[in-house]
Amino acid sequence: MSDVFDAASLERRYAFLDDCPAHLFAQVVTLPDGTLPERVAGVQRWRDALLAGRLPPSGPWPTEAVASPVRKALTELGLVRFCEAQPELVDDLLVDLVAAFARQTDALRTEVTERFRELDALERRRLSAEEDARAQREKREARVVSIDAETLHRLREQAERDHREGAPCRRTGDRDLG
Amino acid sequence: MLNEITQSEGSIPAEITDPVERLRQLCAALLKGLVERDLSIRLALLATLAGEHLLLIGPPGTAKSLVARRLRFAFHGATYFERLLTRFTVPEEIFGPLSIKGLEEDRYERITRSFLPTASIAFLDEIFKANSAILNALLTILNEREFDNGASRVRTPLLAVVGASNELPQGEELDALYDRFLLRLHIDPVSKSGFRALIGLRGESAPKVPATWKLTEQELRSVQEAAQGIEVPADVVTLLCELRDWCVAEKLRVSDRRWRKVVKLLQVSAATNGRTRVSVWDCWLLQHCLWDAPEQRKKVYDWYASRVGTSTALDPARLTQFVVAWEAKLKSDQESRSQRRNAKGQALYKGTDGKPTIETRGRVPMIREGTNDSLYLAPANAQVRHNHYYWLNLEDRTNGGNGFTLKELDALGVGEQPFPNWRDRTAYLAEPTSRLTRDTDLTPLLEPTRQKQAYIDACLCEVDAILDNVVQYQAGLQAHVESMERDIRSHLWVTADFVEPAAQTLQRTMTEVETLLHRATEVRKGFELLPRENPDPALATAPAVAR
Repeated sequence: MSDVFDAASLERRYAFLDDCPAHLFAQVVTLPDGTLPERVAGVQRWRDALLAGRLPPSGPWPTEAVASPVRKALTELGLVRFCEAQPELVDDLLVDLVAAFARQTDALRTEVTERFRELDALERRRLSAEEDARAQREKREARVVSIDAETLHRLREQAERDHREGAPCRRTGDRDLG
Repeated sequence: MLNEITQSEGSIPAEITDPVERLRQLCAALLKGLVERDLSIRLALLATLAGEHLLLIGPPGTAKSLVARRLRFAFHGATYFERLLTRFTVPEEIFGPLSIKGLEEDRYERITRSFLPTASIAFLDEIFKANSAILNALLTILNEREFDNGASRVRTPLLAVVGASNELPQGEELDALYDRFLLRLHIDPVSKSGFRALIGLRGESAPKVPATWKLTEQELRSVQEAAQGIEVPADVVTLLCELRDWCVAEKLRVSDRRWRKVVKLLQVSAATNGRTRVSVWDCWLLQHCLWDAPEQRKKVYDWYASRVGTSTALDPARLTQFVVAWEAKLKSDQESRSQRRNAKGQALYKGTDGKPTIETRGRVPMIREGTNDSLYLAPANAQVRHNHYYWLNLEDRTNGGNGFTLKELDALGVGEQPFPNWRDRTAYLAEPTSRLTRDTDLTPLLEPTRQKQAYIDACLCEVDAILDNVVQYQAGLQAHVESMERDIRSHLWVTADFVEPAAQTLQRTMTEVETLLHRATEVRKGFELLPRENPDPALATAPAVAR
């Protein structure tokens, strides 16, 4: 043990949770997107901004892809100006906002998965075609092709990259708070 | 070290070859006949071993002088000097009278025999009454262990001074003297529980310390030399750095010289306990080194106890809240139901025959309200009796939408025979199409919600992050408890009243951590077992997230 055992270190590591509004605690903690400190800081940033009567600048969480439908809805409904110096209203609204972030995260996750499936299918078709050609040349039956774990990992990264780089949000682009 | 030297001299009895045990027995011998002076004797002996001095602060009559008087019995050939200082104490009373013969020969010298410059153990009562006439010489003796006798500076045999005072030093001129006492102890009168033992004491006999247990000057030097080679590991350095920051924040003045002496004291503590490296448990002694006012000792101790986790068991409030949130999330996911779908992704409903169907509406048999009798259609060729003699064909099989109960059917006829006598009656009644039915919405066919693989992976990552932290903490705690068991159970200088409660507190913390770990592990298992959507391609070849 290079450093002295610090009895309070375990709890102190989670001291940042004290900044999370109590009524949002469970929602923020169990929203599996970004890191927990990012989520707590993100909620705090949104709360502070709304109390100041404005929308917050972009931050690590929620990402712009997650936040933009919410921003759009709040702007269109003109809700933000009513939030200024209204902590009760903001706290109630934040419950809905975090729920909307969770739904949007889920939807984006679905899109990435779908893109991944597409890429996987394309790769399998390509490999099958190659195997068929090879089998024909070697006058044997074509074998069943499989994709190795490394390629799958690469495809998953590609799917995430495609999504980040502006693949159209087919199902969630116009999603509102509801 | 101790035994090496003494064994070579052949003076240690065979039964105490272990140097640590020898010191323990020495302590016990010095303590015999004293009540609640365990700590002062231990600190006095440790201070002497470390080449430091001990200050005892407390009201009169609390056996402060007795500590010093007993301390001398721990050393071979110790010379003892004791004096009560007043504001009018003259140097002659401390350092010896001026030599008349020397004056006659134009030498300003003192006859120091039987005075402080020739003592190995000294007790200076009311030491802060020291006036400027004796202060400089006293500081030199305490710090350098030398005495300026006339034109020459001579080495003194001083091992340690036990200073005593009823009050803290007043005035800046005494700060330097105060700082010379590395170890400081506030002595209180015996407690209520110790009072019976106190009044039971008879006489004041000198402690019986076998000559073979007594320490020689050579052995003291060996201890101090050995201490210089004792490792001060990173964890102790970290603790000292944090303590220094805390002292600064608390406006507790600790000189750089004192910090260096503190490290030396810790090294001596480790060496005399037979270790080659300082332990965080040696740092228990720091509470007796870093205070200026007696009430600050408890603050230092509280900091230390909190830091090493012995003050109170861990209260993992935040983490518990955290785990509770995840438990609730898991329960919600486990209880969540979604409509089942077929291979084409079409939503399924529970058909009237109980089988899955993609139809959203179906027909269900009707019953007569009030009696709950099943309702039937009349047979296609049903007849109704007219005037008890004739059978007339029945026009409306549904009976105006009301249907027929079995009893009402029995009143009808088929082929001019009463319905009960109709040979196809049983088959007709068993036929589902014979029932009166109505159109209804079918119930969606529900099943436990299948979660996305990515969602489950993300949840597992979150829970794993908690688990990793708790497991890491648990490992640190385990090592901490083991080091406590190893280093402190038989520690020479740490008193027993710290050890047992500290061990119990750490054990309670361990239990809390194990509980947390168990709950978080259960949450993880729960998420792993959640039904999943059709596996994504990665599952076919890539390993599942496993722990």
